[in-house]
Amino acid sequence: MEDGQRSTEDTGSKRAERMLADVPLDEEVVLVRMDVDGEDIEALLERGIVPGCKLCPVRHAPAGGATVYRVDGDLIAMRKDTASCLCVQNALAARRSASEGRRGAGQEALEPAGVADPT
Amino acid sequence: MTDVHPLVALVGPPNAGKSTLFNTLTGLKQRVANYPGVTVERRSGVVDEPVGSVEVIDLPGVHGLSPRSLDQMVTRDVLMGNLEGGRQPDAVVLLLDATRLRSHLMLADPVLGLGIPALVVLTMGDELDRREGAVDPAALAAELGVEVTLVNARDPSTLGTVRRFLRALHTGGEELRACPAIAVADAAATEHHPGRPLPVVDLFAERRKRARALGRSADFRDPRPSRTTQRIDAVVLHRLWGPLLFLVVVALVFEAIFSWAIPLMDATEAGIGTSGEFVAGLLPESWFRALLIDGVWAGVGSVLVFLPQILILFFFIAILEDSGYMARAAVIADRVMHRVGLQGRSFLPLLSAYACAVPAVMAARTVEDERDRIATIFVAPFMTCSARLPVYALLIAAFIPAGSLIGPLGWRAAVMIGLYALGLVAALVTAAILKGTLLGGRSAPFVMELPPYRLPTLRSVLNRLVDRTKIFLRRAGKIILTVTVVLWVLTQFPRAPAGGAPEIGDSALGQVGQVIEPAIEPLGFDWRIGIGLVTSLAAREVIVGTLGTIYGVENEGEADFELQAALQQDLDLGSAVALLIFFVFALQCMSTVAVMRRETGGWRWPALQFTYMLALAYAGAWVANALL
Repeated sequence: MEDGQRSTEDTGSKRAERMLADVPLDEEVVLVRMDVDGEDIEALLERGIVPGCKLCPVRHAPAGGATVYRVDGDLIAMRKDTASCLCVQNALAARRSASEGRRGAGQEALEPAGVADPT
Repeated sequence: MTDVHPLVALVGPPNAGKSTLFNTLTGLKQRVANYPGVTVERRSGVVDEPVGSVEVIDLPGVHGLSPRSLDQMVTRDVLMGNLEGGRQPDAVVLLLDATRLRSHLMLADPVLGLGIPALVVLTMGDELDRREGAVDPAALAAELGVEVTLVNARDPSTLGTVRRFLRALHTGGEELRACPAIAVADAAATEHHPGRPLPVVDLFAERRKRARALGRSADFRDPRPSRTTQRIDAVVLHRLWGPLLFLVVVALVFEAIFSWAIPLMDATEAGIGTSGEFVAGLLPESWFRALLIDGVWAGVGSVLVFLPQILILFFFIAILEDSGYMARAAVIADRVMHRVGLQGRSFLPLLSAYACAVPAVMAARTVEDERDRIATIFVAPFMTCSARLPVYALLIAAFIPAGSLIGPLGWRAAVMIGLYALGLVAALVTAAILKGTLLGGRSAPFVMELPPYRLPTLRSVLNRLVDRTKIFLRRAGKIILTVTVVLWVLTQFPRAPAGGAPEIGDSALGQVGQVIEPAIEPLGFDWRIGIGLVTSLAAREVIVGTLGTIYGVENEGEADFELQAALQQDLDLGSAVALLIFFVFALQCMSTVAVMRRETGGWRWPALQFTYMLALAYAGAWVANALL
């Protein structure tokens, strides 16, 4: 029974994860994981694009170019190929899974940066 | 010997108001130079306080201190005492934009962690207030252990704490405190993983966590998003209006460079000519007078004449950058640039190259990725710079009929547009080839911050114009002076039997022309054009003056027509078009080569670029001469 419950939760959690490039405009998400090469990742990290940060696509640049995201109050433009390397979760789902993570014995919170931070 | 003042470094992320504070503090007492061996500019100035003077250096805007870019490397080296003659700054002023404190506080750990006495300056205090945000500087100061002040960098009356901090460097006041708490923050984070450095993602996650904790301690309340920025972005980044506005801005810059600048350029040219004649009249006839007037005056004058264009170009760039539009333009241009392997940040240097490749090569510093920066520098000289225009104008007027091609579009205008297009296509194709071969590999992520729109200040724009002018004149002036003097000497020897300068065909330069004639004969050029090609290495437009001298054009008022007639005797349509195409492709500009060597840190790239462009020019000219 317990195993079955965990399996359903895992599937639900995975279903909530998407790549940032697939997030529609105005949906707020939380960065979960970054599949970016070592050399390039610092360009993102230094600008505050760190697991746990909130991102919200606010505008597509003309001609299908980059997309502008609001990142903790800043506006940052990224190409689709970069956004496709950033795994995100809906902000509400992330908050829920973080609080469940804190409650559940032996389970780690989603991110060290504290996705449940009030912003 | 100059006094050694206490040294203070201004550090902060880009667009945090660092340069505004620097300008407000130092006024006109500024100097711009390069750090030895690297291309990063060192801007310094002196602040005079009643108790003594302080030297302030304005470091480049950075997001961190890792050696990821030239700017960050230099900032880190200055702060650690590896530059500035091994001298570590006596204090650091860390500037953070109060409206973007969440992300900007991430720079606090690496900078304050160095243990240098520090002052944290929160800028844009007025904007934070207007957008209903809040922060408690005293609470943040208590948390950090150093003084924190909230300012509006444009308003000197808000800078009392900053000035007190600078004075403390002489008086040893208690304001000079290093940050005890943060000094160990990164180290503490690393201790979680004894024996190996903390993975970079975790390190930044720790920094972000701490930045947020600091923000909470300082009762930081996010300002509401800027409505002005939202409204302007709705137009500037609109699917239809965005690209249209982009084209209008580019057209406006072109119009300014090529129309508005002309009267100023004519006036500059006239001023150089008149002053040269005046100085010549004061000196007796001698080799020294000839060297000074025909060599130095003419050489330096050929650079100075482009100054109005450079100033107008940089005026627009300063306005566009300071207002926040340039970052949006880079985002719009990125789509096209990315297709040929470049990126949106390459747009600004390539646009600048239409005025002159020298500032364009320098502007490529804004391209963070090293391979993209080199590719941008490599292709910039293909864009049609102003120096090509006199050559194009001369040859088109001499060889292309004035009739109409289609409606109001004449043959001459069509050829001119074709030459511009040819240069652009060569640039884009070369970029694609480079990024597929020598500079190939993964595509660096394009991550561009879009700062809020702000009104540029007159002082900031003027300061940048003065900086750019100094740098342009220093770099371009030195090389062109040297080359023109060398060329002048080659026209003076061997001396004629009766004394004095020889006929140009008998001079050392003429002999050079005759030596290279067999090589350029397949292009339809003779030794006279050969000399023109050699002298135009100093600057492209020099060929016009050289050909004037060779063909003995003397009647000043009719000089253009006489030269056109003389060229019509020596060149046919094929060789004239070949010469035009040669000038589209060839890197006939030693100033650009010299600046490239500096910016790429060696001769490898300039040598490759010169050879590549020469080969392309030769092949293009050969084909044109063979076909027409």
